[in-house]
Amino acid sequence: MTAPSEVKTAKPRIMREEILPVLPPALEAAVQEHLDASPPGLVGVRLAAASALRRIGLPHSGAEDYSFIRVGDLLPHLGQAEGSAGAQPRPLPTAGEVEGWVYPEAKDNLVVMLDGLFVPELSRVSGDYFVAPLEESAPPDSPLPGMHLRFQGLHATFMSRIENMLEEDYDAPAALAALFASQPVLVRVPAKRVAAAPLQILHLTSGQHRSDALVILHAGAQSQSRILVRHERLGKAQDPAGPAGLENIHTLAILEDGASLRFLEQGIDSSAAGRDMHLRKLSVRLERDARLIAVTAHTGSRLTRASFGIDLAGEGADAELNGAAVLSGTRQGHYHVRLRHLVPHGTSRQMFKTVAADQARASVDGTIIVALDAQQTNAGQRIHNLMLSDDARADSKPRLMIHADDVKCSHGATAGKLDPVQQFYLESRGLPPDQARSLLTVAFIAEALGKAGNAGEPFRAALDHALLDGLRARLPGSGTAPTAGASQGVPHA
Amino acid sequence: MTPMLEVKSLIAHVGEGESITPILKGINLSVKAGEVHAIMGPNGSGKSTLSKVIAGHPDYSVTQGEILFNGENILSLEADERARKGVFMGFQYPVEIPGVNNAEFLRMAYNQRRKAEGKEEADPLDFEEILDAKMKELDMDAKFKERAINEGYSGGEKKRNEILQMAILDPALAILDETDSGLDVDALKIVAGGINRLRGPAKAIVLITHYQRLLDYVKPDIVHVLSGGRIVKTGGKELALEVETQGYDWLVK
Repeated sequence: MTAPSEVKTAKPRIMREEILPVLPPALEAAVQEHLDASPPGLVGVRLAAASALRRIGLPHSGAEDYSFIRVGDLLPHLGQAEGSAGAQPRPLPTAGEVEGWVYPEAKDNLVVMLDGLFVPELSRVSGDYFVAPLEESAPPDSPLPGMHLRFQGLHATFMSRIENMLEEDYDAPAALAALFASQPVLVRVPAKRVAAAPLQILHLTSGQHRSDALVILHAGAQSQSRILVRHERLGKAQDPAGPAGLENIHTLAILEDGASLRFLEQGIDSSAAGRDMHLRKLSVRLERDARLIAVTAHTGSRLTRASFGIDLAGEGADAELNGAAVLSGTRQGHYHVRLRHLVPHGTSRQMFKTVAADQARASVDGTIIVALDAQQTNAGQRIHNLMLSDDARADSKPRLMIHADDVKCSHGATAGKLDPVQQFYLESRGLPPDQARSLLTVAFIAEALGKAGNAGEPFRAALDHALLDGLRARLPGSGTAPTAGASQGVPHA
Repeated sequence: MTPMLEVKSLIAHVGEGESITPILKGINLSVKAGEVHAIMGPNGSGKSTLSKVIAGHPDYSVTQGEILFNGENILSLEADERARKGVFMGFQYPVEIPGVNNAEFLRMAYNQRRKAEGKEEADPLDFEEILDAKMKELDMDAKFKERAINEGYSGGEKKRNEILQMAILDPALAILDETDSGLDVDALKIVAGGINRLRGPAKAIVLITHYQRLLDYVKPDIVHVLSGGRIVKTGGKELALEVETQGYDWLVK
């Protein structure tokens, strides 16, 4: 007989689904200190970004959003609070230097940012755009008290929407950029304004350990505008053994009802700045019938990650994302996309094209989310990789998460080499093999650039030049390819 | 006079290793400047292979024989080198190349040929004039300048584009592989007009065709029948008519 034993009820164990991320103590302390020292005009934005950062934590190896990236390379740059806030003052580039980076079309609308700091001396804006550091962007006192309150109220509403977007962020570098950017800039296109010329944002980096920048775009209802973004590195002839910098830029945009924005970004460098790293995030909220066309073209770097967080939040919104990357050497170029259809009748298209040569590494990690309510959504994503070498690597992770039941969604990914049949056709007409390969490679990438604008648009030509000439320079046989003039050398399908 | 094209005991294979298949089994062909030859033959006889081997297609290996162009053996030359020397092949199935502008490509090819001849390259404006004139001759819409090579063209448009390329490059030797297939009579007349314009004392043309129809518009000097990888009969243009009425069986057996 066994004596009744004392029954001990085991204390129920709480299974935690995930370990809540905690910022490293030094970073947490720096975040708090930074928040405490923030000017009133920036507190809201920074609190929102800090709250996101504390929720997300820093990326770790194994993090799903970073499956194709060596997080170890990033962490030394992200784990510190330095950002541009603690950076040394640096000399401004000369006006002459800057002019070489300005698209002719945008000569009257230029915003220059140096390591995340707005440089009014080198910037100029005319007419269609309103540009100001965020902390000075609240409407000034008006002689009419009622009007003053009204504008203050509108501004506060807008800022709270921006703060909501920041708070919902899922990208640690983007949150860091918003939190530590020392001088965020607000670019506003008034409602119903059809901007005649584009506005250029020129991001200059001096190779700081990490330079954070935050740009906020507000496209007013039924406005129409174009933003051309260009990234350049100062001090090209840098010591190759010197420390590499990390450029960390977050661009947030709200497109009001019926607004249309073309956002064209170029991160092409032919310099030794390939040692730097570039993290770029574009977050856009599209309201009813708003339209976004985003084209980004780059040639990679030690690590380039272009991330898109796109929310179609109004019915009938339409978003188009195009990425073109040409990678050689050991450069890396990664795209990350999270595009959400939150309401019915949205349409979106994505096309990412990457040329990977040598030992380059590329990835596209793209998710389309269709919310339960978002019926009649039409979403598509295409990922195409052209592999020019056996040692190059390209990963594609297209994903669809569809909660609605009446939608049209498609996605596809390919990786391949140049088509020998096409190559023979060109050669049979007398083109040397290198020129034929170069032509086919350029044609491959050109499709993704085609959306940058109508044929003949000067920016398109500039982008074509920058990327395609860079591509030609990287390809064998570039010597025999014709040098591109304004109307030649660039195949337009 | 040295023939412009001389094919001697040519044996060619496709594939490699165990899957290697002989296609041409000893071809002899001699084409003089000023002549138009027609090569006819049933499906699978090796007509297209012959044109591709002469043009330098990398999928075919020549194991025996030689191909002389103006007395020079061109077998060791790559396709692009042959093209720059003046050999042109019109494709049976012209290749679509999205993203490569047709006019742009034509200018590149034209300038490569000019360079090879030691002439100055044409600038875009000069070339445009040349192109416009040639396109007019072929009744081609100006939109084909803006479009990508062969992308979305109808069958007839593709063939016309081949003839346009030929007209621009002005080759010494043109080998046209079934350029007539898939054309209606109006398009056929236009294409034939383009071929006849190339004809001249310094030019040689080889028409590869399954049907006799094209030969009503481009009169050949010599007609060959190719079967089983060999030329089984050579004659005048009356041979084409015989083939048309009697088929190939009497020649093959």
